[in-house]
Amino acid sequence: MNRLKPLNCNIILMQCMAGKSRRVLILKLAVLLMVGLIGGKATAQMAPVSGVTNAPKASAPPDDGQWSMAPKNYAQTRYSELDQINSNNVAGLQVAFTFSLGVDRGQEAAPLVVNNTMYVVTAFPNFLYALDLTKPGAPMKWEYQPMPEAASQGVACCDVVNRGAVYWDGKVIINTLDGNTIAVNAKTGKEIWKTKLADINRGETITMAPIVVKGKVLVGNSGGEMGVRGWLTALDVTSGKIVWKAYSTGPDADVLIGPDFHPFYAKDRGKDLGVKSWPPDAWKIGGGTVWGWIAYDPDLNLIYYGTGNPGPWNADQRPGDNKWTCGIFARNADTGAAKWYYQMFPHDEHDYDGVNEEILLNMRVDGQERKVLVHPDRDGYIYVIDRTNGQVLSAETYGYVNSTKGVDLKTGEIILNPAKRTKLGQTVKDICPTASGEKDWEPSAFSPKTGLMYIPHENICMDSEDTEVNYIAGTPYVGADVRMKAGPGGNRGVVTAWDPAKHRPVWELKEDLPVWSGALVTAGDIVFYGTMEGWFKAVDAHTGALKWEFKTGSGIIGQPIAYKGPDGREYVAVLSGVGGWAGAVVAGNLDPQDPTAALGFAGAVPDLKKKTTAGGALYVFALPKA
Amino acid sequence: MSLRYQKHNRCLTFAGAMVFTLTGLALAQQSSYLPPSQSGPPFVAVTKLFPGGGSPPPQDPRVKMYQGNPFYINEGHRLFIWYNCVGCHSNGGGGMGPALMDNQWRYGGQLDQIFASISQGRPNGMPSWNGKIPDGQIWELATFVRSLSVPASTRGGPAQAVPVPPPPMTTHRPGKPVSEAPDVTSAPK
Ligand code: HEC
Repeated sequence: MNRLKPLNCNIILMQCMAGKSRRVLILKLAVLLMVGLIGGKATAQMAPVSGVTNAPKASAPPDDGQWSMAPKNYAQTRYSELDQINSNNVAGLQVAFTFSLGVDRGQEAAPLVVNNTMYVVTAFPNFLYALDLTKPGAPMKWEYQPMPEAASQGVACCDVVNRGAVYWDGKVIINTLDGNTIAVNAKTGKEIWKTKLADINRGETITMAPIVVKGKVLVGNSGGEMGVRGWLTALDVTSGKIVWKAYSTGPDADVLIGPDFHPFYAKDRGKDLGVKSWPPDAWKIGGGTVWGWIAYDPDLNLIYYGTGNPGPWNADQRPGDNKWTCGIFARNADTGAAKWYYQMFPHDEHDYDGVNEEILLNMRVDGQERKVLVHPDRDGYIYVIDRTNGQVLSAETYGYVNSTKGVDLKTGEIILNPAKRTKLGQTVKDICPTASGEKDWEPSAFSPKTGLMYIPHENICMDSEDTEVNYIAGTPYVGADVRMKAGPGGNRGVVTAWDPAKHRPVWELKEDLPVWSGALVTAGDIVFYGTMEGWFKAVDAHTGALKWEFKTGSGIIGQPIAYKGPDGREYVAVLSGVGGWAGAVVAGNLDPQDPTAALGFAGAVPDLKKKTTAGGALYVFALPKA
Repeated sequence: MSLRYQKHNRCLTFAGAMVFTLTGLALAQQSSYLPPSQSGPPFVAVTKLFPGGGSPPPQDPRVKMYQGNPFYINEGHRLFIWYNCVGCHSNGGGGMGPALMDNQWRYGGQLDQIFASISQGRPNGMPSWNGKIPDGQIWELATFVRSLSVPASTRGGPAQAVPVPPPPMTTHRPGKPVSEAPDVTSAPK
C-alpha cells in the first residue's frame, strides 16, 4: 500500500447506541455515519463534552510540563495540559531533533523529561541516555550501560522490549531484561543501587515500566510463556531493598491475602484459592506475571494492576480457575496487602493477560458519582470497575469478540462461547480476539476535556490448536500452535475514541497494521499515536480527523509524550523502532513462511518485512519558532 | 483432577529424559536401525577465518550417516517438540530464537556446526543442552534442523530407507508436520 497520501485511515463515526442493557452481550457497533475524509477537511459532529468524567486530582495532579513516569501520572491518563499545539497549527509540526538509540530492537518505552533533561531507555541491552534539552540538538549528558546478560534475550517471549523508566527524587530507575532493577543518579549517570529480582534460568525477565509510590519502586516480572510464577514487588527507593513481594499464585500468605481482603464477587472468595484452583503444584509454574501497568489512588491508598495469563496456554494441563491469573488486584500501597481482586478470565484459554492499563476516573454511573477504574482488557471488554470495592459496573466490547458472549454483572462471570474453546489436538478456527487480545500492552490516553479515552488496539483473530507441552525450566511452556490473521474488515489495527461514561465508541480509525504504540492526548485536543509502518500521526481528539503525519525511520511501537521545553514551547517526543510481539518478525528477522513463528503473530503480519525495517531512534517535534 | 494433571503435566526432569532415552534405544533395537551415535563431533569451527590460510576441519564422518536421512529427520522433529525447541524456534520460523528454516546461520549450517550450537548453547539465549540431551538425540535434532532449510527436492535421500517405529512419546502431534517436515512414507523420491 502506498502510504504517501496524506490520509490513509478510514474514519467511522459512531452514534450513541440507545437502550443499552446493563448486561452486555457482544457489541454490534451501530455504524450510522461513515465519512471518508479527504485532505483532512471533513468535519464531523463533536463528541459531547462530558465535564463530569475526570481523573481524580490526587492521582493526576496539575501538569508541570514534565513527564516523570511512563503513564504520565498515577491515574495513567497520558494527558498533557499543554495546548500550544492544536488542530489549527498542528499541520506545521516539524522535527526539532532526533537521536539514534544505537539499538534496533522494538522500542516500547516512553521518554521521560525532568529538569530539562530527557531520559530514554532502549530495548535490550537497555541503554539509558540523558539528553540536555537546554542546548541546541539536545546533546548527550551521560549514558549508562547496565550490561544485562546476553542470554536473557532467549527467554524474552516477545522481542526484547523495555517499556520505560521512572524518575523519582534525583534518580532514574530502570528495569533490565535480565531481571535487575537499577537506580541511577539523574545528574551523573552513576549507579546508586542494583537489585537482582528475576532469574533467567527459570525464564523470568523484566520488561515493564516501574513506578514509584510513596518511596517504593513497584516492579513485576515477565515470562508468562515460560512457566514462571508471577509477582509484584516493592523496593525501597533509597536502598533498593525489597519491602514486600506479592505472588500471583500460591498460598494466601505468598499472595499477601489477609484479613483486609474483600473481593466483591463470591467466586473470588475462599482460602488459598491460589493453590486450590490449580492441579497440585501447577501454581508454582502457573504464570500470572505482572508486566503491565500500575495505577495508584492516594486517597484510597490503593495500587491497582493486572495479572498475566496462566501457563501453559494449553488449558487442559491446568484444570481450575487458575487464580490469581488474568485478574485485577487492588492492594494497600504501603504493605501490599490485597484489598480486592476481580478475575476477568478464570481458566484462561486464549492468553488473555489482564495486564493492560487501569485509567482512574471519577464519573457518574447511573446517576451516581463513582470512583472507577477503566480497563480495556485483552479479552475485548472495557471493564468499568468501582475501584473502592472491585464491583464491575459495566463490561462492553470495543471490537469484534466471539470467544465470549458477555459478562454477567451479577456474578462477575464471563460467559464463554463453547464453540471457541480451545482443545487438545484440534484446531479451533477464527477465535476473536487473538492471543495478543483486542488490545495488548499499548496504553490508552484519557482527556478530561473531551471525556474520551483513546484506545490503540488490534483487530486480529486466530486459529489455535492445543498441544501437550513438557515443563523444562527456562524454556517455553506454551503448548499451543497459533496462527493469527486479520479480523473482520481486514484492517489489523484500530484506534478507538471511547466514551467511558456512556460506554460507547465515538469514532474509530482503521489502520492496516496492528496499532502497537501508546496514545497521547493533549489539551490542544490532539491525539498522537504511531503506526507499525513508521507514521507518527496527529488526529483531532473530537473527530479523529487526521491533521498531520510524519514518516519515521522504522515502525512505531513506543509511547508518545508531550513536554514543555526550557524555551517554554511544547514538544512531542516518540521512539521509532519496530518490534514487540507484533513486530518480532522484523526485529528478530523471523521467517514469516512459518505462520506459527513469534507465537503465531507471523501469520497476522506476513507482509511486515516489506513495510518496515528494524531501527531505533528518538524523534522530537515542535512548531516552528514564532 | 490430580490424575488428569499428572497425566498431562509432565515436569521433564533430566532423569525423566534418560528414561525416555532408554525407551528410544529399546525401540531402536526393535526396529533394527543403527543406534544413533553417542558422542559429538571432535572439533567444529564456527568461523571461516583461518589466519595465514588453512582450511576448516574436516566434517565429522557421522554427518554422512545423518544428513537427509528421513528417519533421523523424523525423530529429530519429535524431539524438537519434546524438548521445547519449538517454543523458541516455532516450527522453524523462529520466535524467541532465530528462524531455522531461512538458511541463514549465525554459527554455521553444517550438521556438525548445528550439533555444536545445540550442545554448547549460544551466547544470545540459546540454552546449552550438553549433558541434558544425549548426543545421539542431538545428532537427530541437528538433522531435523538442517532439513528445515533444505528444499525437499534437493534433500539427499539416504542409501537405504529405514522403517520408522511409532513415536515412543505422546508429545508427537499426529498429522501436524511443519511445512517442510519429512514425510517418511513418501520420501525419498
Ligand atoms: C529458550 C529459548 C530457546 C530454546 C528452548 C532453544 N533455543 Fe535454539 N536458540 C535460541 C536463541 C535465542 C538462539 C540464538 C543464539 C545466539 O545468536 O547467540 C538459538 C540458536 C540456535 C541455533 C543456531 C542457529 C544459527 O543461526 O546458527 C540452533 C541450531 C538452535 N538454536 C537449535 C535449537 C534446538 C534444536 C533446540 C531444542 C533442543 C533449541 N534450539 C532450543 C533460543 C532457544
